[in-house]
Amino acid sequence: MISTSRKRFWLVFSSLFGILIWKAISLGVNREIILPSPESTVLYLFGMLGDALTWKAVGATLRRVLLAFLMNLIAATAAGLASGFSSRFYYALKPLVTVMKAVPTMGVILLSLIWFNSETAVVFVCTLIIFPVLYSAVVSGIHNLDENLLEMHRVFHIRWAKTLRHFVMPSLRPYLIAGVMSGLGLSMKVIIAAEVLSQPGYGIGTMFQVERARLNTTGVFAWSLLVIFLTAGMDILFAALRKYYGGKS
Amino acid sequence: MISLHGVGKCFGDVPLFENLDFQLPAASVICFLGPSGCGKTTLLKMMAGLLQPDTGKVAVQGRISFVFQEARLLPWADVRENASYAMDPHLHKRELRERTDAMLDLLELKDAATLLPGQISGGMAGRTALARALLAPFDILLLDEPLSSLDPDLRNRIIEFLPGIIEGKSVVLVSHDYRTAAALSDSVYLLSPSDIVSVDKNDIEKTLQRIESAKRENSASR
Repeated sequence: MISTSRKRFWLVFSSLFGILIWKAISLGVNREIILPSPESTVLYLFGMLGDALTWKAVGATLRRVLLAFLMNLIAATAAGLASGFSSRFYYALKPLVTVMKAVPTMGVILLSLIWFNSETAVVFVCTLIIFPVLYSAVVSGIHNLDENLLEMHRVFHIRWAKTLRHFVMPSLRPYLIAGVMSGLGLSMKVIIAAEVLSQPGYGIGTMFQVERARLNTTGVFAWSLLVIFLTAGMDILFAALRKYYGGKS
Repeated sequence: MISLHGVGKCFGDVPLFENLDFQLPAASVICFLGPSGCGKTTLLKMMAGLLQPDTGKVAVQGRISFVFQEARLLPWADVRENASYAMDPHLHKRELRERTDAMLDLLELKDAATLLPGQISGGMAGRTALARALLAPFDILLLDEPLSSLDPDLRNRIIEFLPGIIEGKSVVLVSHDYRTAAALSDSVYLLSPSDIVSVDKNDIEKTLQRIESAKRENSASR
């Protein structure tokens, strides 16, 4: 482990280095429509922040991300628990999960646009991507439960509900945390991609499409930057929540 | 109670037991003695229903409590929570607490009550597991090498108070240490693949020596 100040130094150093390269290339290209410079992107972003439409779009997208993510977290945990403890359930779900994992995202987005309205389509696409990730995390968590402790629960006839609450769920904690960490960012990306194509009334993806249509590359960059900040913000918020609700793992 | 009828168990191709018959006497403490690897733990697990015999039948009547060779504590629960984990869920909260604290006191765990398993020594973890087993409602208590990790002083104290807790209940103890066996149990049995032989409790040492020398002759003549 390196010290906190060292960590900060390297974080800042690599960020500045990245921005420097961005600036250098943009100077070389010298055309804002191909590659906008860092300062014009940031300036545009500040301008966006004063616009109510920006916040409406951000709010709508975040709402979809949270809704889709929480729904899938609950469904995947329930299905994962069932599959983890019953191999019948596991094999019954296996074809579905395999299809969900393998199906190409773009194909699903296009199909769901034909089938659903844009609001439902976005959440549906996110489900297809995110459910297998969370589900697999829960199943592998259960398959890795401590055999000795399982045996202990059996010999003492500990009730099902108590076993779940005091043994299974705490054991799943690291798997769920890993799932949430990777899943939230992934949901954000998928939802925005789906919004670009489905064009709901408000949404970050809708704004991407608007800026692209106006050939406003700086706008596309500024929105990307905003999404990066939002995702980082969610990560920080989640880490803080984790710390607050106890424990190291 | 527990009875074994023609029980056989193999591990891979190696037969551990063959056609074993045994009846656990009610309300007494018995000890199975045998070298490591002779199947003591397997026998206990079959009695607890954790393992099925390949042939024959194990019949059990009554609630079972078990002290495993390892502590098997929940790593995120403290010593008190672990000790009271298997207690009767219908007990009143206050009674549950009082009984737990009394048991922790008895096993010299009171100062460690709020510590997590990762913060205590192996001996303390073993005692916590013992507390859990003694607090669980049971008619039959199965102990797998329970006292091997304790220091001699505490072991002697436990040997003193244990009879009070297990009075009127059946206890099966498994050990390779014949002194513990003799001190705790009413009767001692030697475990061999096809037989459970009763040994005179006061004569264990001699019996063991006899077996030992017979074994040595056996391997020498091979």
